[in-house]
Amino acid sequence: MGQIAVFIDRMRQTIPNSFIEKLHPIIKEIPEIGFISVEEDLTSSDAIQRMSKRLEQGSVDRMIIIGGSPKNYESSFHRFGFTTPLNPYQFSVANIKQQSLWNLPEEESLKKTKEIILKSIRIVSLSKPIHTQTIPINPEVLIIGGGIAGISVALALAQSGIHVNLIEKEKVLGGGMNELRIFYQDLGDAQKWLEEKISDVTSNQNINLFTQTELIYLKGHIGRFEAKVRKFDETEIILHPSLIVVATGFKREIQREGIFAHRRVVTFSEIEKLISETKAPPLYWDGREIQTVTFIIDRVNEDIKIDSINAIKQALLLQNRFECQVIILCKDVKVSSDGMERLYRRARQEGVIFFKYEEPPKLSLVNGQFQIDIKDTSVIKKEDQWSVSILSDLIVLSESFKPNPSNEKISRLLGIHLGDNGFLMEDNPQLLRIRSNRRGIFILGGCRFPQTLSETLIEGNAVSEEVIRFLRNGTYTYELSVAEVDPQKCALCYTCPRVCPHSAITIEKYAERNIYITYGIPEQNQWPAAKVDPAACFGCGICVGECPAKAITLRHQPDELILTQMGINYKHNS
Amino acid sequence: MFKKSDVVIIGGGISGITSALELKELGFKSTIIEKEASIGGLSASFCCKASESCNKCFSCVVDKKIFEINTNKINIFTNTKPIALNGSPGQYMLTIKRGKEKLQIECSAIVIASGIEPYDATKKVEYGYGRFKNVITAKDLDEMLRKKGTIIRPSDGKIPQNVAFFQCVGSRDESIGNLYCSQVCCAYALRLIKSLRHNYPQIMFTFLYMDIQPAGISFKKFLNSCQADKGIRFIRSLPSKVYYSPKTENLRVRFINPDIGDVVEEIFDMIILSVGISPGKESNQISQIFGLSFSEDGFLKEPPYEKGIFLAGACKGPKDIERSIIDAKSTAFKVQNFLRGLN
Repeated sequence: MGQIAVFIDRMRQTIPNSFIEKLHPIIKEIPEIGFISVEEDLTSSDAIQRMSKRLEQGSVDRMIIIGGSPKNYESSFHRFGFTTPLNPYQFSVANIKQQSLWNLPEEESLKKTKEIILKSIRIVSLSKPIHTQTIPINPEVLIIGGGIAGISVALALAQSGIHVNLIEKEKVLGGGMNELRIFYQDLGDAQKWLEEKISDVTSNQNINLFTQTELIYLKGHIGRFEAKVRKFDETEIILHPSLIVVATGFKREIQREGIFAHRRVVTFSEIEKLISETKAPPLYWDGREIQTVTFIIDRVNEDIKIDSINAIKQALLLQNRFECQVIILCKDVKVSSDGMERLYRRARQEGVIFFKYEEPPKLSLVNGQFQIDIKDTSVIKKEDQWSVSILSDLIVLSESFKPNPSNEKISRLLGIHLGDNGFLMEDNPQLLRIRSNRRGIFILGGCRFPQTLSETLIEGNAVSEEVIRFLRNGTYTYELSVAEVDPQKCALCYTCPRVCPHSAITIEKYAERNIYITYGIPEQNQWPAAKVDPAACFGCGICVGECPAKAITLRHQPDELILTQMGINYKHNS
Repeated sequence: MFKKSDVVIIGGGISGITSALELKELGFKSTIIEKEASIGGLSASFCCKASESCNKCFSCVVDKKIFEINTNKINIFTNTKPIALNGSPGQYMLTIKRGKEKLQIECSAIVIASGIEPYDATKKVEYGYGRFKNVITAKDLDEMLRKKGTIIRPSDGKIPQNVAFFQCVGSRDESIGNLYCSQVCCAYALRLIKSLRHNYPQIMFTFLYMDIQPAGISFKKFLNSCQADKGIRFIRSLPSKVYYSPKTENLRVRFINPDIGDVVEEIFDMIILSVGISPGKESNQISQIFGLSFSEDGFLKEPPYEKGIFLAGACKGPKDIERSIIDAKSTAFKVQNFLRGLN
C-alpha cells in the first residue's frame, strides 16, 4: 500500500497555529504518512495548484485534508479545476474545525482531534480505488406506444440519425390523439396535423414501424436490452435496443348508468367529432335538432384539466357556429393552461352559462328533454339560492381517464414501478417525470398522467434530449461505485432482485458450485447466482442491507468503512 | 474583452441552469449571464415544504442543480446584463456589461431564460400590503421560513394563531388586467399550509380561493388530505377588503361566506397573499435587445426557429419548477438541433 499525503488547512487563521503545532507530533507517529503540507487557505486557487503539483510528484496514492467542512473543499476543487492523479475515492476530510475545535475546550478538543484524524487515516487506508467502466452503446431505441407521445419522440430521434423501433398494439398510429379534432389555442385542425406527423413516421427511413405488435419479453440492462415483440401474425422478432421509451397512453372510460345510458348523453369525443364534421347549423344528434347542450364535468377525474379545456372549447364552438345555448356544470373551472383564462372569459361573454356545484346535479327526462336541477350558488344570500331547472337537448359527459389496462403487464415486463393509482411510475421529483426507476428506460405522456397535448410535446423533446445524451458518444461510461455479489455466498433466496428499486439484479448462471447447492442436483458447469449489473445499479445499498447471507457488498462503501465512519473499531493498529 | 461560446443563456434561474447543464451533456459550451450577484434566481429562494412526507415542491431539486452547476465548468457572469446584439443567426455577437466593464461574446445560439417576477401585491390596494405589517405575501413567508425557520407576525414577533391565505392575488383579475391563471399558486399555497400545519398544529388556516387548479399526479391525494384536515378551512370566495385595527395589529377581512350565505367580517392575526406570476421586470429590455414580441398576457413569445433564439422556462408563461426544468430540457434539445443544422 502506498503512502498518505496530509494537507493541513489553517482556514485563514481560524485554526490557531499553536494548535496545529500540537498536531504535528501526533501525525508524524503514523507510519503510512508520506508528507505533511500546511496551507493558509486550501480553498484558494494558488493553494489548490500547489496541492496538485505536490501530488503529481508521486510517492503517495491517497490523501487526507485536516481542516473544515468537506463541502467547502469539494466545491472549490471543482471551481478551480483541481486535477489529481489520485483516485477520488481515496480521499478523506478530517473536519476538526466543526467537529472538535468549535465545540470543545482545548484539552478535550486535542484528544478529539486526534481521534478524528486517526479515523480519517483509517478511512483512506480502507477505501479502495473505484474506476470507471465503458460499454459500447448502439444508436438504437425501442419506443412502446404509437400515440402522439411516441410519435413525437420517434420523429425527433430519427432526425438525429438514431434507429427507432416503434411498436403500437393497434392497427393505426395516433392513440388517444385520434379523439382530438380541434386545438383549443387556435381552433386549428388537429387531425390534419396528426396525419402529417403519421405520414412523416411511415416515410422515415430511420423508423421501423410495427403496428399490431406487442412487447412480450425483455431482458438485459441499459445498452444491451433484448426485447422480444410479437406481431399480429404471431411472428416474433428480437430487437436489441440500447434504450427504451414507454409511451403507452391512457384509456378513456364512461360509466353509463341510469339516465346516463340515454342515447342523447354523449362523450367529449363524440361531440368533438360531431362539431368538426358538421359544416353549418343546425346540429343534429339522434335525429333531433340540438339547441341546448349541457356539459357535466368533474364528476370523475377532478384532478385533470383536459375536461375543462375541452368543455370550454366545445362550448364556444357550439355557441358561435351552431347557435346553441351551452351550460357548463363543474366543480372548479380549471384554467391552469396557457391562454385558458382568456378562453373562459370569452365563453362567458358569448353567453355560455357556468354553474359550480358541490352536490351533483339531479337529472330527469321531461317531454323528451333532459331536466337538470341545480342550485345557483352564485347568489350571496342563502335564501336566494334557488334551484334552477335547465331543459337541455343534449348532455355531454366527461369520460374518466383510466390507466391503461396493460400497465400492469408493462410494469412487470420492464421492471418499472406502478403507481398506486394504476398509472406507471410514482410521483418522484428526483426523476423529473421523464425518467423511470430503471436507468435507460424513459417514460412520458398519458401512461404516467393524462395531460394536455402541449405538455406531452414538451416532454417528448425532453425525453429525446435525454436519449441523445446517452447515445451521442457511442459509449456509456459509469463509475463502479456499485453493489457486487459474491457468488460463493449467494444462497439464491431471491431477496435482492425483489428489493432492488432499480431492477438491476438478475439471477444468472455464472457461478461455481457453493455450499448452498444441495446434493442430488445434476452437476453443471455454471451455477445460478444473483448478479448486479454495474451499468444499471445506482449504488443505493438496499440489497447490501437485506442480503441474509451477507453476500453483497458496496464497492465504494465496504462494511468496514461504514463501521469506521460510525466510529466503531476505528483504533489505529500500528 | 472577447469570448467565444456556442450558446449564451440569459438568466441563471432554474431554467437557465438546466439549459446550461443539458447543453454541456450534449457537447456544447454555454455561458450564463445573470443580473444578480448569485445564480439560482427565484427558484432558489424557496424552502422545503415537506410535512410528514414530501409534498413535491421541488426546492431540493433546485439545490441539487445549483450544486451541479457550481461543480461543472460552466462560464457564469454574475452582476451582468446584456446590452446589445449584433450579427445574424448562427453568428451572433452579444455585448454584455458587468459593472462598468463591457464584454463581447461570440455565440451561435441564444437561450433566454429571464424568468418571472412575483406579482407586486402593493397594486392590490384593498388588501393593504405594504401598509399593514401583518399582511405579507406567500413569497415573504417562504423567505421567512428559509431564513428564520419559523412563521412570526412581523408586528410583534409572535407565532400567529389564525392565518388567512388569499388566493389569486394578481392572477385571473380583470381589474388589474391580468387575464391569465398563474398555474402554480394553488398548489404552492396549499403546500405551505400543509407544512406549517405539520410544524405548528396550533395555527388555524383559512384558504380563500376561486377555483382550485390541479397540479399533477399526486395532487388529488394531497388536496384530499388538506381538505380532511380540520385546521384548514376552504372557503370559495375572494375577500373584498381588509381593515386594520391599530391596537392589536389584527386584520378584519370582509368576504362572502357561502356556508352562511352572507357577507361576513372575520378577524385574522395574519394574512398571506398568494401572489401570482407576472412577466419579468427586464422583459421589456430583453425584447428590445433580442427583437422579441410579447404574448397577449405580456410574456415573451417564442421567435421563429431560424432565428436561433430560444425561450426556456417561465419567461414564456407561468410554470412551476418541475415544468420549467422539463421545458429547459426541451429547449436544450431544440438548441442542439439548431446547432447541428437539423430542423
